Amino acid sequence: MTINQFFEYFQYPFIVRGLLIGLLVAIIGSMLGHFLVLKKMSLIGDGLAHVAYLSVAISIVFLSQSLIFNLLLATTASLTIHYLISFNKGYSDAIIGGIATSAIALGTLIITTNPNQNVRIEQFLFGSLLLLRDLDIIAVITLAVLVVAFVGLFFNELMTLTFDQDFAKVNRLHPQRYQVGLAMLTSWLVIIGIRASGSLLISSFLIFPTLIVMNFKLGFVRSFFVGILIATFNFLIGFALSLWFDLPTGSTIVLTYSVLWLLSVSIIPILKGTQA
Amino acid sequence: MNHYQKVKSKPLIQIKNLNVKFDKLNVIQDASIDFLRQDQVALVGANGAGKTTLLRVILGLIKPESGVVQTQPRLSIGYLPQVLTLGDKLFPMTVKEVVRQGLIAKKKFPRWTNLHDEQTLDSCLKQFLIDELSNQAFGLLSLGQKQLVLFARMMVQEPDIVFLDEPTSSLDVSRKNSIYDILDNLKKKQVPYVIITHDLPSFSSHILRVIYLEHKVLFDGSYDAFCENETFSPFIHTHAHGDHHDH
Repeated sequence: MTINQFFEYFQYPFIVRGLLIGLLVAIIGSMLGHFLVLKKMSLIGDGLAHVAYLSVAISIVFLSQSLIFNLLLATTASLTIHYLISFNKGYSDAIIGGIATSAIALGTLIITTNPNQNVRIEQFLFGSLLLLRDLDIIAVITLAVLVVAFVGLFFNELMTLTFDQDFAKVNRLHPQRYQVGLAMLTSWLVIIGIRASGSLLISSFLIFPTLIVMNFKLGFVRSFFVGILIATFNFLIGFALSLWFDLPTGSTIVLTYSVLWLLSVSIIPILKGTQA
Repeated sequence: MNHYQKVKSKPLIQIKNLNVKFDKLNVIQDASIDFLRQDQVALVGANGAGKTTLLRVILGLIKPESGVVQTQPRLSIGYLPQVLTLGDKLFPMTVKEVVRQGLIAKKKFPRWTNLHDEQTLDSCLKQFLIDELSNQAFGLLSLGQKQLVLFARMMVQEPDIVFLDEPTSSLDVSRKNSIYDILDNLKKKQVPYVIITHDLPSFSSHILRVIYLEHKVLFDGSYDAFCENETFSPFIHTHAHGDHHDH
């Protein structure tokens, strides 16, 4: 492929839509994921992604892909998961696992027993740029504004509860409120992002930036911003590679994350070794 | 603190007829305790006697079954948690960011820090001799250093009363001195403190009052009276060296 052929891709509206939506989902994912990962709640994103798969399955079969319905169902699911976790603290990973597998099973059952529609399960597991609509652009931009406002206004509260929940509670920082806010915004991100990256891959958007940046020991605030840079860089690289080599976009982006992660884990000890 | 000069004689925290149950187990039974302006208290008792539960009720982390915990309005309670519970090695929080939380906790919405806060923060880091650590990762510090950082976070809040939860339990003998420095510092600033411990002899020179909890308050009086009371003599002697074994 020549450079010219590569750039010809961007004449197609669905490619530009995919680029814009995917990039915003990646950036929002790294912002929310920073708190989720460090609070050891990253599985919430994973669980929600699977519930999102169920809600999308229901809405395809019964409601012709209603975004509002999906958002409502995901909000309910995130609040339920949050409630279950705070009610039964020690076993939150198992609870989320239970909910996630049930949702996947039910979603698959609904899609496969509905013979009238020509829907492929893989689209919702791995995402597809072809599924994206103009409505998705409006939704993702709205979500981006909400997330920037939430994190910008409450960054210090979120940081404090992430590090020391008891301290936050003793000082009347109301950690529960912000955790509910985080869970809800995450569930919306999952619903809006599921068309672009699919339910199996979306939790990587939440997890990888922080997982990579943690190895650099930059401090909480700097890690947050460097995480956004990593998410942006990684998305653009992965997107370009997938176009150039004609690979599935979602999996390519996740794999570039994996490579960056491996590099960050392996290079830093080497750098430290040369210093010493 | 001028606020309290008018109401000096009233207790800072007043606990009345407190009962706490976990399932059917009475962890705290009918406890009534006043914490006063000049207090230097050791809250002692065996493991599982309800010390930490009492602390968590006072801090508002657990709701009691019945009874009340009254605090003076706008009372700022400082709390030094057990060091072991905080800060994984990979958690990307610097020392300065940890101490900054003390200032954040004092602010109203939006809790953004300004230039003046940053100056307060810097002088606090200097005061506790941790300014050289300020950009280091909290998770990589030694236990003694971590404790000092958490103490700085607490003191930057200018607390009216301070609770220290098993402050020596994770420290070896030589590091216990850092706790004594912390207590001397509190004395100098006339901040009342409550030490939760099962190692009373370690704190003999920093304690005026002892509260002995065994689900009920079995003793509440001066340190000297506690030592003279024969009922408690096994507690004083057998626990003198028991500090390391309890985790």
